[in-house]
Amino acid sequence: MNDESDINAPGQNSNTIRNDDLPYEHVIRRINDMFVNYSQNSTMLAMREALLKLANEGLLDE
Amino acid sequence: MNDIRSRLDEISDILTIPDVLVEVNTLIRSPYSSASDIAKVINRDLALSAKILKLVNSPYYGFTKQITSINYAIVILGYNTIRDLAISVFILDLIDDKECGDFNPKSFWQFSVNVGIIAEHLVERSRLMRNDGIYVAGLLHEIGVVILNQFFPDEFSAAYRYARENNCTLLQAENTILDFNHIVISEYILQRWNFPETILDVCRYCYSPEISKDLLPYVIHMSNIFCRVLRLGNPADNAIPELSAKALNVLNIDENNFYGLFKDILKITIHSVSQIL
Repeated sequence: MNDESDINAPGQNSNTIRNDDLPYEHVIRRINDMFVNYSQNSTMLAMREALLKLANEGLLDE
Repeated sequence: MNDIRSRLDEISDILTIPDVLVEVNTLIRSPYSSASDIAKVINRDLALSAKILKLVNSPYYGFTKQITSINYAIVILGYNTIRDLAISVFILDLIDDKECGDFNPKSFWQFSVNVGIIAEHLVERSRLMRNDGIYVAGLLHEIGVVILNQFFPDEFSAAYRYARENNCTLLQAENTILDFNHIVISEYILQRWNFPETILDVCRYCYSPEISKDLLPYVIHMSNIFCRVLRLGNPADNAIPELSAKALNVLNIDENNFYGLFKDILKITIHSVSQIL
């Protein structure tokens, strides 16, 4: 398990974990925004899940 | 509409397809032509041959030894790839660097190249049809966007802004605020350049492939969407066009395996323009 200093951006000295500091957070937010109109479409949701998995693995371009 | 047609006539007089490209295409279709016949024609155009060699030696192809002759490039990569590269060079020359907001035409070119690469991959994995002209279809299917940006800057800028503000595709924006769209432009220009009906169908139906009787619009439709969601270049808007459910069936894509398919696609596509230029 990482401690907080691993998660915070370099140079930051915070005791809280901000969402912005999580790896690939902005890529994940972008993916969620992209699919906002497709919340009822199972195929598009499957596509979103695959992208989120790739984003969490750091495989998507930022 | 007549006004746009006359403006497109003027534009297509400026944007002529080079004779050498027409000749290469004819030779490739002929069963009697050899690699050296094609090389001779390409070598007549020094700028074209230099640019093709630059692409062949780009990191994308990853050859360890430098390829210094068109003849050798044809032998290694094949007729069709060389034809595709010649068309890529022509399109790249065509692209003005005129940026509009954060729209970068080279990034749009990267998007189009990747649509072509993904399309070839989808066809190969589904064994759907002969893999001929598919890359070119991907490369050219939205060429109207580039022409719109270059020759109709005010209209492009308005549609581009509208698409951003309303989270819709550029096509939806054009259909809402202009009396023409980039599909009409793509179709018109490619017709003037004598591209075959199969490519014109891709331009017409890539957003609604069910209307087409051909399979290629399904391939490009799917590739276009994959390229958008994977952010492989800039398609001039941030929206995802409505996915044709039939496209998944036609291309034999299991939605439970998007992850594996995307991983494969990320390995073969270009992630920055510098990879190929």
